[in-house]
Amino acid sequence: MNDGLKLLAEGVITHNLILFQGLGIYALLRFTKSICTAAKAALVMLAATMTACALVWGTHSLIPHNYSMRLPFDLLIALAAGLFWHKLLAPVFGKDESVDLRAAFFNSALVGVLLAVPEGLPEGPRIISYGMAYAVGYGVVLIIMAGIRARLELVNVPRPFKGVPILLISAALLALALMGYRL
Amino acid sequence: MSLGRTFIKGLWRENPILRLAIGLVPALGITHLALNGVYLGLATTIVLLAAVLVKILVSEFVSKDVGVFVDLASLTIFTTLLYRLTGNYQPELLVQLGIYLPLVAVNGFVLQRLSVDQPPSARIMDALGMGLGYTAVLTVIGIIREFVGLGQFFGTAVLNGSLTPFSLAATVPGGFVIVGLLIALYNALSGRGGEIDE
Repeated sequence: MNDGLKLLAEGVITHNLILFQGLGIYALLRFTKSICTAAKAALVMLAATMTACALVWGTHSLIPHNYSMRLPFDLLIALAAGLFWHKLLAPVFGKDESVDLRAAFFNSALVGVLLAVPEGLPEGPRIISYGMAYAVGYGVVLIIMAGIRARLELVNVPRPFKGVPILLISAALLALALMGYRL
Repeated sequence: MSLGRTFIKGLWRENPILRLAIGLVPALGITHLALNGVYLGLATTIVLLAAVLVKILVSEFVSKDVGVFVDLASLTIFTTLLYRLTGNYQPELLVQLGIYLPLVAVNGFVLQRLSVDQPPSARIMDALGMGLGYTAVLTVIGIIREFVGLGQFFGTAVLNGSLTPFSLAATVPGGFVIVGLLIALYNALSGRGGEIDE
């Protein structure tokens, strides 16, 4: 129980994929236009990550332990998990989506989670909970940033800061707020 | 558009980081040292160029749908090769770059440039120009972060205790601020600013 909470705190706060590892920035900039889009991207990431981690568990004996040889396997697993959920969820999300969610199925955050799986991590359900914790952290940040972005639209931001700059600086402030938990 | 213009546009007018805001993962994650920025930028350019050459060679024989898988396969192969070469010749650098070197294979900038439909010669010039523009900006970000965060310039201490380094600049949140300010400066200089390009 404590281990699970510790893992969740790690994934959501202290080792957050977006805020402290700089992964999934494409999603941070493109999928936070509304809370609904952010929630969909978060759901996709959660499903794809858990599936990918389950595949890592299932194919553990086939994957080489040599890190440099692991890369093609991790990419293949991420691609398979992403494509599976893309086929399954694309009709549900509909075609009127303001952004193309295809990029959410195969992104740096998903591959990053697989590449960062610690060597000594026990296999089995723990690896799935590892993936889940990090994907939840990713989703929470997307949804918070979508909320911040909605508020930012109401204020008068200087023109050069509109768009990407103000979003990155807001993400930095959110990261600083959580940074205290890392100390 | 002439080949010269296609090459130059990646350096400033359509710079991947400053204008298009793609491929930001290494810019935030690993450029706390300028050398990392140079190496990762060059690595990304080499992988992009190799994948573009493969795409040009096979485009006659494969359909557009299959082409996506060919792109991903070539990116994976070239990234793995580069990873192994770096491991053989620069093992310390490999440790520093961590997961960010393998992530070149899924870099949004590389995937986006591969999806642009252009004639073969323009495709090569575009990859070169965009790659060099990407490397230049990663290097600038690295120089700023290393100087502000660690008081160094390419690993050489320059402040010598006269000013305390602001270590936050070397962290990912510091990277968010520095990249955000650089893009704002670019917007101010080029008269842009506004919504994020899809």
